Amino acid sequence: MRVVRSLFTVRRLEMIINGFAIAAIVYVGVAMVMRRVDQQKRPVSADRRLTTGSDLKVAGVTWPADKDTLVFVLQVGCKYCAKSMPFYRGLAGAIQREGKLHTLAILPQNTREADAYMSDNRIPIAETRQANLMDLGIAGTPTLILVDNTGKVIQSWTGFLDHLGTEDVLARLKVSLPLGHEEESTSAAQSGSAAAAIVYTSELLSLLGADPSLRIIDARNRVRFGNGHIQGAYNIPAEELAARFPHEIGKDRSTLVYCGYSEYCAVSGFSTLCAHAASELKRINVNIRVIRDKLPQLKTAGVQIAGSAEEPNGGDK
Amino acid sequence: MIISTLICLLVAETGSQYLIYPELRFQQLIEKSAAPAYPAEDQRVGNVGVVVLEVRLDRRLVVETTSVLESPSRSMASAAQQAVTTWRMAAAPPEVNSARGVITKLTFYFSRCQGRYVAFYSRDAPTPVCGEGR
Repeated sequence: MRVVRSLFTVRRLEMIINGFAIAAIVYVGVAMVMRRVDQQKRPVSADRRLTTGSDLKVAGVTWPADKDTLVFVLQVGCKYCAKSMPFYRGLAGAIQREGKLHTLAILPQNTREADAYMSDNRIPIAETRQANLMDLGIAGTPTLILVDNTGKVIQSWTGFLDHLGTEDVLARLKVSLPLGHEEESTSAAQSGSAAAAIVYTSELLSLLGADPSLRIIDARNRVRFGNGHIQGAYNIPAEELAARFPHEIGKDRSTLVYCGYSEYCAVSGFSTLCAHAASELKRINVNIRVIRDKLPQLKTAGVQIAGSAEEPNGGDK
Repeated sequence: MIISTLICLLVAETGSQYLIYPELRFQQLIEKSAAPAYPAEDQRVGNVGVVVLEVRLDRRLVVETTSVLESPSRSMASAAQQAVTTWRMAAAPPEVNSARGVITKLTFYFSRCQGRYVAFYSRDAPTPVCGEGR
């Protein structure tokens, strides 16, 4: 009886100790989570917040005198940084190819973690630095900051950017992303290739007047082409390009393709008609350049449009 | 019982699909092609251009239906459709046997070449197609 009682006491003691241990673990866990949340949510005070015209001071960074710098502010484990990666990868690759800007990545993590993060995400950025983001006045990640050669902020974009945001960045930086930049960014950056796949309207207007051998292929379906197209464009739907292009166009002519290009779809990794057209022609070793703007914008800019400039709904074969 | 029914339905569903072959892929299955006859009326008027057909073939690669996607004239389309029915195909690859058949597009050229009107299937065309084309 006595033995049973002592056993019971020991068992009770064991339970109490276990209870304390569990409570301690839970307390430490909650405290750590709260600290992390607090660190992430603590707003940067208005007087320290980085705004256009203020100075970005990063320890150990000397801003290049001959060009502006685009700063990528990222953070390991940041959901919207991961979501922005396809765009950032293409953007950094295009900047590296064109060489007009210097690039810098700032992360709060230590250099080893930051380098591993940049390398895992295959972002070709010239320089990576560790910094406390709140000390710099940066409110959140991801953030892109364009600074001049004295470190003064010209413009910044915070958060995951939708199609208007990405187009604003590309227009401000005067950078164009090549088609299929997801696959090409690394290899093209390594090879130093400078082939631009996008044709802006200003260039299109000058080419239309200057190059009589220029051929514009409209790779949309027949219904859309029939509704309206660039004056003089030739319709070969994307899936027919590989079979028909060598016979009807020939590889020796300079060719532009209109395919209702969407920068947003291209940077978001969606399958697009332009990517399909480019891959069909790649099969027969033809590289194309894609007209960036859509019919309404082309019409406004002075390009002659046959039929309506508005896109109809629905499709055909 | 239920599982075997589901498997049967799945097999039936898979077998009811047509495979879509790009034209270049389908060209490898054509054993003997014949050029369409250039319609006399089109020659008289001077019609030239491209005819694109969508062709549906069964699993033995026998033409089931043809529909016209693009043609400068009705008679050119009919000539191309008529030509396709005379073609001989190679043995169907195994993947076709497990499907219902194949859908592909075929491109024909009706062109004026060195003063003569000529019609041909794209695989048999000189590159680039001579004459004015479209």
